[in-house]
Amino acid sequence: MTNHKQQKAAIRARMKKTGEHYITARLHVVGMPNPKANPKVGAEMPFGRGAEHTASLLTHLLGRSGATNPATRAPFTEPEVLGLSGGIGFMGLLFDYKGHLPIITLVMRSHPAPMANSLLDRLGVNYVTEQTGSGSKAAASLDAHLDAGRACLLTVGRGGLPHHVVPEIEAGEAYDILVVDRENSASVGIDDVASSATVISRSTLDAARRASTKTKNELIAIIDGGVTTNPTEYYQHAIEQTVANLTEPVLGNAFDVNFGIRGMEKLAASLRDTRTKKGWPHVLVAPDAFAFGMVRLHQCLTNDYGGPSALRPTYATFLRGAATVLPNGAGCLRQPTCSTRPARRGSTPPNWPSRPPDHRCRTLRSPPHARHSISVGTPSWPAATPR
Amino acid sequence: MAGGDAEVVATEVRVADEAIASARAAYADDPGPPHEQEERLSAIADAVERARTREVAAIDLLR
Repeated sequence: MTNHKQQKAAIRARMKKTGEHYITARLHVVGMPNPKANPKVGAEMPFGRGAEHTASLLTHLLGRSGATNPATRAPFTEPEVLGLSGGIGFMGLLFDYKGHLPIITLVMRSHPAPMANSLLDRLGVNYVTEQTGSGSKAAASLDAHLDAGRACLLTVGRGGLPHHVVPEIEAGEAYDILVVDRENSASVGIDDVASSATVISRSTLDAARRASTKTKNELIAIIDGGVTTNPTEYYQHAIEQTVANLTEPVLGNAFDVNFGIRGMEKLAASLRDTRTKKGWPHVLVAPDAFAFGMVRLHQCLTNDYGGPSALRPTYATFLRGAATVLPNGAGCLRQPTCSTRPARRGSTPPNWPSRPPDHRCRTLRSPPHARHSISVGTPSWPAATPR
Repeated sequence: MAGGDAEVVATEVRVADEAIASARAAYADDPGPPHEQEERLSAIADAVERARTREVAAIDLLR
């Protein structure tokens, strides 16, 4: 056996004897990691939620890969990750499903471009995006990455996670988690922005992956966390994407009216619309619908698809950092030579980040960015009646 | 002005707290009859409008 296999065998023997989780048993067998020996493992592994769920996971993913921000020579912080993945945004919709209370969905972060791909493309790190309709292929690929010491960002159906209580209608909602370790052949440790790893069975994980049918077992793993893009370029590009998210069409179809500044105007108008059946006063007239709607509105503004104060203070922190990197602060974006706005590519929404020519994304079956059809909200959005 | 723009933007983009407070108040209290619900929704709309106005100003600084 190799040393690695001997070590794992010793860890599992201790788990069996003591009932400890893998991470705890490993600490006893291996001892505390030596940061100088292996900086990827030795650094304190990040857990916990910051301002926003996916930004927190991406911060952890970058940290585990050993990536550092060349602009600060330190690991990426969550405000940096939020800003560099597209920053703030706005989408407002009210779904009206027959037999269910109206569901308000507000997204206060960059949307609908996938945050992970936007961030990793922009930084120029070596990573893979994999999608497959085959559960066995997806499981084998996950194992291979974990064996190589890579944490994997997975998109699962939120309702498939045993520690989440989700209304049935939203059970298939795409939800990101980080798989950080294989506890044993039957269970894995996941980072779901709790204060430590959550252990779930492998069969539960596989079922949760299947529950998000649109995302096809999506997996993102960083092969090499080295940032290859110039900081000035990735800060500029990120801020441009944020501005475009808020001011330009993002989908190229009728739903664009729900995004950005136009979406905020529509939301305000809908809230005041007492004349038509699409007005919120009419849709939410029943007391239970009103109460549910207001709770949901508050959740969306502070937690779901966003964070405290709709993520604006977190983005402000990012901008303060950007001002130290960009030669003329935000004003640099007014200079024509600073423009890095991505080119329009076929049906790709106009303000999505362009991929560098040598991007390393690959798919097992489906093309990358297959999540572009909205990864949050309710699963049957196109068939529902957005107001 | 490298930090100046960002500082102005940092202030301007703190835009959502009023809407959040309105939403919290709207569900924390008894919503009352429909006309009171309309008033509460209208208050949220006012907050969204103010937030939108300030966000537009912030975006102008970023462009």
